[in-house]
Amino acid sequence: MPHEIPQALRALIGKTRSRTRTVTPEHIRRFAQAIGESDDVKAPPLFCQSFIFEDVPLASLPPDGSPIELDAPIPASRAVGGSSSFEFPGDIRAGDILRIESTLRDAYVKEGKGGLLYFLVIETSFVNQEGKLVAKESATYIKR
Amino acid sequence: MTPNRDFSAGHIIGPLALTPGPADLFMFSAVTWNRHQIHYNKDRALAEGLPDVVVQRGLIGNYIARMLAAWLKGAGRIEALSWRVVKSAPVNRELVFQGIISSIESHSNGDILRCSVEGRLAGEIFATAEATLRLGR
Repeated sequence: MPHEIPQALRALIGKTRSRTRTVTPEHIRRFAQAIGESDDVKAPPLFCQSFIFEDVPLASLPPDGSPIELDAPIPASRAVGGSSSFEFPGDIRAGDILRIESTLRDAYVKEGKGGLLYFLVIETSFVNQEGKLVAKESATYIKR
Repeated sequence: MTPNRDFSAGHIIGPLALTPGPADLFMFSAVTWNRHQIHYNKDRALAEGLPDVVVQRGLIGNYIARMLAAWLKGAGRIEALSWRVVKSAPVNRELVFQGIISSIESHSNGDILRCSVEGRLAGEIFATAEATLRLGR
């Protein structure tokens, strides 16, 4: 018999968190250096990850420090990243103003070896100041 | 090898081998403002049943993208990239990535390549990926 997700979590499906960020040359340079790229002027393909997690105070995060987006009303406190799927319809450049929206698209539960595993599917879109979608991620996180 | 048209399905991309250390994990957590403790607090990682602090899924994706972009050499772009971490990768372990072109479609505005990528740790697969690349014309 399939396990049901808690009603409180079900109620969050479809909810969106939004923010706006301005891309600076420093953002690009530091991201490129962090991933070992020699070219630190052009934004790497996955540069949008710079803004993928909301910058809330540490006290707002779950006890394990995992992103606020994973702070779901479920009886599971440990999180790991499972999979990630990106599309890159456009480029990101210094000076761009990105509208970032993260939405909980789905949540489901499976029986694991050590107990229940909760899967959270979070979609994040990045739209520039011209209204063009430049990147989109669908990520699946696992909480146990 | 440059991505000119003297390749076909089955062509190998890579390999890329690297050993991310604590500074790499720190920098990636910093630039992504990822404060998840399993990437920098060994005690926390061990308490969660992990062998050590572990490489971020996002950083693994960047290594794959880096390998693909290096092969493209500016002659194309990554249009889509999906990856999955099937086993956590501890810090200070060599990770080896290699791709293979699974199909090539010719279009009027360029070729679309589909690639499969495997990431191995001590010979075992710890990550898999699928990518779509567009070569300009």
